[in-house]
Amino acid sequence: MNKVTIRLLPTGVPGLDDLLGGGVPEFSFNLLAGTPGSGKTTMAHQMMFSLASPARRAIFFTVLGEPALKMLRYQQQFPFFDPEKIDDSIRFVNLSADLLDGNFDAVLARITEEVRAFGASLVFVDSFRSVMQTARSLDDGPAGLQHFVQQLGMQMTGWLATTFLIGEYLAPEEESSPVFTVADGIIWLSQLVHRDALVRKIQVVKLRGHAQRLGMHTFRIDDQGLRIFPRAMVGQGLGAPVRFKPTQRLSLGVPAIDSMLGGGLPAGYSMLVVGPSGSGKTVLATQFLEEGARVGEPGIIAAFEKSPNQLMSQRLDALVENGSAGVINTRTLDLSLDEVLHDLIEMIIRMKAKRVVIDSLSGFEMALASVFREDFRESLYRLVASLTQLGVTVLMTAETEDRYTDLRFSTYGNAFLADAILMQRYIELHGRLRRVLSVVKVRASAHSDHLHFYDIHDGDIHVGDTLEHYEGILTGQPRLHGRG
Amino acid sequence: MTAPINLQRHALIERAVLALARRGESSVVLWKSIAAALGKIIGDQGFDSLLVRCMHELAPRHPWLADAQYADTGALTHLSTLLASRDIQESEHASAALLHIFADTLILLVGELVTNRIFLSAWKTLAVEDVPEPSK
Repeated sequence: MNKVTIRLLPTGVPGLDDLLGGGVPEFSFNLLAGTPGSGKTTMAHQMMFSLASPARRAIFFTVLGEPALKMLRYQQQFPFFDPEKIDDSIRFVNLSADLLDGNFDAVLARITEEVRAFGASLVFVDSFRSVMQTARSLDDGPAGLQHFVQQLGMQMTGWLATTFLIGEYLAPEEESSPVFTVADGIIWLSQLVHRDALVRKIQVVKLRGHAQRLGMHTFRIDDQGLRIFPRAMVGQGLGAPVRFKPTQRLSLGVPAIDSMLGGGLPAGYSMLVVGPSGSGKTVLATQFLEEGARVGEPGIIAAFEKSPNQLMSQRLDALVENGSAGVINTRTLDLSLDEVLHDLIEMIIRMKAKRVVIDSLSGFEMALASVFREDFRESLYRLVASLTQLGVTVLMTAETEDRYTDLRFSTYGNAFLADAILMQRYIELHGRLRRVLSVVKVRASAHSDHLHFYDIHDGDIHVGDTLEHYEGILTGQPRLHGRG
Repeated sequence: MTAPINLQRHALIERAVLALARRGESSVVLWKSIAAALGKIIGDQGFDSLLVRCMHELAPRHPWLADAQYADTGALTHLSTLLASRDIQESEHASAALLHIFADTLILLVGELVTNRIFLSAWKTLAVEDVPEPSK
């Protein structure tokens, strides 16, 4: 004899099935809860219009919350709202009058009768909060509500319906409603405003029957509806890490720098290119992508530094136009790391990309909503770890202030995240501002420890002589050996 | 060629009223069907609010509709009483005009596609679809 198999219904909300471990369990009794305006009704509609068909009918019960006319008016703005499904596959039923009578048994009987008559296997009740508020005003208050919720859960399961109660709640820990006990699944939506930026988060608080993705995840509501960006957990959801032989190296497109690195950048490494403004970090990143295009390794640039109009050089434009490189553009300052990572991973898989450029870390930090900037080091760690797990080689640029009293590789203290570091800086020599570079670190690999002059001609980096005859270079004012 | 959707709806209303008149039935049955279908979605009070507003709109052309004492009975019963108090021709004419206003109002709120779905769903059992379009 076989054990029962719980079928999972794909919700149609991008990213939600990932959180639910594959979809919403069939015949489950769920609570879709959250603060006002957090997107509960939109998510419910998105699921309903995706799941409902003549063979799997849905009833959406409206209670004392948002007036049904307004709900229909606003939800129609989303493309998933398909009026053709109304009546054949979806029915809206208003329960306000039944609830105002205050007779829970009558409400229960009405719900059950509508489900039976329409043959519904998907049931939504919006807003269940108003049911609970009504209960509090009645004589048998909490006891009546407990009975009602248990009966509803039992009857809906008896009718083989997958049920969603939608309600406004402040926080899971503040609630002691019987709904929380009876529910098989609890999905929690919240939004927080931090320094004027709004961030939406979702959590699967509870899910009976199988494992969900733990923790808070960010989501966005745009003109398509909800999109969830499951929180990237290192080692989860990205498949087995791609392993490389130590001998597998990628050329940066500048042979002299490849030599300095010990024969190119080891595959799957992350490299930080640090330097002051104008030192040629993006130039090197462009050559890195061009070299990838030349050897059949597509690349992606996540450009946080510039507006779309001034985004790229002609050479980067050409790479994008011929399909050798993709661009992740950022337009807002309220991103979450997972949103960026979601877009990056999608493009990496689509383009079979081997190289990724993040230009720059300071722009990336700026593009994140302020609440995420506080955890920027952790965000960056998750980003780099996730990308390298996918087998791409990452080049990140970071702007540093030119200080001549100390040696810095990153203003964020993030240098430890990088497997390799290339430093660029200016020095004053013979009345000229000269550029020098050096390889600071290549993990588990021998590399040059020389400082080299370099110039930029025609958009290419040209590495020159070493500065071994000079001392005090990093003070910005080198002197020839033996000269005071 | 298929007629524009608003013309289809206007034609549907005219044909429905005509079909009922030919069968000797009052157009109130059309209103009852809409009240049942729409009231189920937006609640009886929601339906009443819309109907009263539409009667107010039509009152300049049919002043007898301005009598808004419906609180005790509900707007639909009140409308039925008012329609029954007029001769059949005037009653049909006013009822059809009121249905047009009602549909147009609903379209403003929830759009044409949803409104048409509601009207067709409400009237699908009334056998009004097979009545020929009235001559112009």
